[in-house]
Amino acid sequence: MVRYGLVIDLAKCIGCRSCVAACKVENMVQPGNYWNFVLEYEQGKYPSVRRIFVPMNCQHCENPPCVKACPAKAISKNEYGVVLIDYEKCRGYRYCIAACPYGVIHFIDKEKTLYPNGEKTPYEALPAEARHPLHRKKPGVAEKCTLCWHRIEKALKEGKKPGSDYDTSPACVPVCPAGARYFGDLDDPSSEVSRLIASRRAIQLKKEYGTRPQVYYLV
Amino acid sequence: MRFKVAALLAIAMLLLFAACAQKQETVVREVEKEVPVNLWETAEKIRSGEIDVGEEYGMELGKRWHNIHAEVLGLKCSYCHISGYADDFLYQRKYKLPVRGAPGVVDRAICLGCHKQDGPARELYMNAGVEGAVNP
Repeated sequence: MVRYGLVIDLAKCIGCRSCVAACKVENMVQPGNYWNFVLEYEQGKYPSVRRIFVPMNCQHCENPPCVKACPAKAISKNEYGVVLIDYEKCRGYRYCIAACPYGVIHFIDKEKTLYPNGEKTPYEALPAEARHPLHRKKPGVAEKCTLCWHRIEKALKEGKKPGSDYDTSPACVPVCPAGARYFGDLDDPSSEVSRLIASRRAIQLKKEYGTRPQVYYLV
Repeated sequence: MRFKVAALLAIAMLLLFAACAQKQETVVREVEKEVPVNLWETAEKIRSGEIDVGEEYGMELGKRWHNIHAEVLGLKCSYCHISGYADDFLYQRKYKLPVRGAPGVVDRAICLGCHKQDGPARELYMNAGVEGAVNP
């Protein structure tokens, strides 16, 4: 069994938002919505203070509340452990947004463009048929991180190992200048992500919800 | 003449604002009614259809979500909606303004009360520690 996930090293993250920008471009995320985001806060008291950067994206939970909450059954978890929204089935009820304890699902209320005058960029102007189904977003649906499933899917079809190079990894991983993000199979004990989780102090966010996230943070 | 028209317009706008405020107050008062309910019994009645919560799914007032939580269960707005999150609260949309007209953001810890494993409402969250919720 394969279960893809991310490991993020908070000691290395410098809060540069390269992951945010890469995700925006790769997935044509419209202004105002973020599949990837960096939360930051301060810890300690002067003079012993430090700034904490916590990159947040869909946690691809093993027990995803969004899947259970959706009345339209538009959200599913595939055999590789990736939680995906089917835009054709989504009716925009927003129950998934209400149920997610991480706040990582966004609603597309209306079409917005990156150019301020409302004109579409060449990417935005691509017709739906020319896009991967996961990029055929439209107003009135919910959207979130897909762990760049279009890249993983392509790698699997080509017989490559997902995460083995730039094109087979989620866009946020190889662009990180600090090398703080790792992608791989959590069920493979020899993978880098599994070794990091085993050797370092790895935490999952909000475990009290029993969601069992597939994103681990090294602290 | 111009002054009279401006004065009339101003009065009309004031009356409109007053009417809107009154309407909003009515909605809030209706939502905030306190009804002591047996959560298990009520949840079962909602599931069986004995209590009509409407057909239309959605988060807006008047649709199923608020019909269940505010109308049937009688939860006050302030029970779920809080003024803001703590600085170190890890929630991605914490900086996004709540939808227009919402009285505040919602901490999902509130939902955990009923939507947990073996809780009265539909199970959304499993109990931590029950099944593999620990780090490897």
